[in-house]
Amino acid sequence: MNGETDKQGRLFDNDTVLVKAFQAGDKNAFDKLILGYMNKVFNLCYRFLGNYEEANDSAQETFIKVYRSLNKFQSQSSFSTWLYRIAVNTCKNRLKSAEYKSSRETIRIDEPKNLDDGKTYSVEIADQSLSPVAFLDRKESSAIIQSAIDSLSQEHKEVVVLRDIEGLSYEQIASITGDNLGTVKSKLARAREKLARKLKGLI
Amino acid sequence: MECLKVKELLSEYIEGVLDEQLKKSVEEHLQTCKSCSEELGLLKTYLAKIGSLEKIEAPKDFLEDLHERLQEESKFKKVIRKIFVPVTVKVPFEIAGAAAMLFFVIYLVKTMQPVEKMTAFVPSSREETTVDKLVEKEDERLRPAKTEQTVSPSEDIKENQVRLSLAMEKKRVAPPAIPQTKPIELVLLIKSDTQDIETYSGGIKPVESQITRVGLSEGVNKDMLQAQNLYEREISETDLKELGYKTLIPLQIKNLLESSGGKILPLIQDKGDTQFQFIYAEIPRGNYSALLKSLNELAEFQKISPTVIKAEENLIHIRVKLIPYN
Repeated sequence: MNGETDKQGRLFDNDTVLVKAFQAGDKNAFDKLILGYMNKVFNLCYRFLGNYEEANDSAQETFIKVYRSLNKFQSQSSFSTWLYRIAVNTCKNRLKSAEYKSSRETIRIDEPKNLDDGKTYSVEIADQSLSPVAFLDRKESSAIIQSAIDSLSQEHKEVVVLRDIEGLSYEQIASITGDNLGTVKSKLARAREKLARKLKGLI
Repeated sequence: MECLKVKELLSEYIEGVLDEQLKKSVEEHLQTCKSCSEELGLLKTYLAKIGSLEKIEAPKDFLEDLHERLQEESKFKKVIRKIFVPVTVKVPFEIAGAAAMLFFVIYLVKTMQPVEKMTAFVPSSREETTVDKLVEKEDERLRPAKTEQTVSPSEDIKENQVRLSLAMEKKRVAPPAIPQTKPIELVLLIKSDTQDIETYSGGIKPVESQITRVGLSEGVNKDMLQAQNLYEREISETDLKELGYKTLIPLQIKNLLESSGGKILPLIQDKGDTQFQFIYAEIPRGNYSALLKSLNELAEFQKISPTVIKAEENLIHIRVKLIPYN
């Protein structure tokens, strides 16, 4: 691990050194921190939101929040865990926002609707999102996987993205989500099972 | 091990984080369970695919964009600071708040002040004239006993305080007349078989006896009393008849009003009904409560209208209504 030692001989990783430098007034240290994490955070945001522009806005918002709060950051948890927590919460808030929901309005096709005339209508539309034909045409298995991730609930999505895409440890994930280790494992097992079933035969 | 439990552990089994015992149990189960083996295969495929997902990189100008946004934010903050800093200074607001609260409290205190202020009796100084003394004593007589107990005349009070209080007292006793819009109505029940005017032989003995009881005539020059027109006034039968009195009580009330320093206004009587008498009078505010007590001894109160006397009103305008009963 690259790092420096303080007067007491404690080893600091590069992140901690940069954070301390920023807190001491070195604004360039912030840029170095961003350069180290911007692609990871961007990828996390993209996989969480499934949209490039939304991912860009969320990643920017994440680093703005980091910039505002970095002076108050104390190295009780690692910088990366803190950063991922901010990124995940920013993405969750964006998913909840009315603007995001309206841009991604969907029609449920599995529940017939009772309209005013008393008759029951059901809409039958081919499921384009997971249609093998559609995706064979696009030849992008990654799009299929992303669609499957998009269909997950937030709590399942966050553990899948953090573990299977970003490769964080269970402990780090527990620290980011605020769950205990057992809950993280349990959530991840269910999320993987769902995804594996959704992707069965498609990839 | 059951399938459900194994499926829960498959995720950790693939990652190799299960302890040896659980790992063995899962492996044993997988050897015999086709469903769970298929599940394991699906998971492995999934993990392989998701691991192969390309990493989406941030746009090249991501950092520049971020700097721009941060600069815009700091500009916005500066503007906000320019607009709001003078306003967010806490001290003036606190002072304003405190001032507002102070005004509110003063307002409350003022509105809740007792309407009639009773000042403690203060003995007159040696320089005061006999008439002044008389007025002082008379006022003292008409003040409630409680007030007299609060400050005893024998208490040793500094000369300056005495003068100041005396000046205030004199001002209160002889105030400028302020007209009242609505008189206070006192309704008195009078026994109709009370002493008739024909048997009345002059003089106003009941009232005089009351005065004697409080000791006002003690050592007081009778000529002075007459000059004050307080007690010794004779009223002729003719006068009484003209006034429409049928019993002695109205006359006594009239004299009582006068003895309280009051000024009797023209008597008003209901047309065609001589039984209902009204006496209008103005009396000094300080004598009002004592007057009520004295009136209550002469006749029975049926009603006293709610007494609201403004602090600046030194003269109270009252209307005494007399109702006979058997």
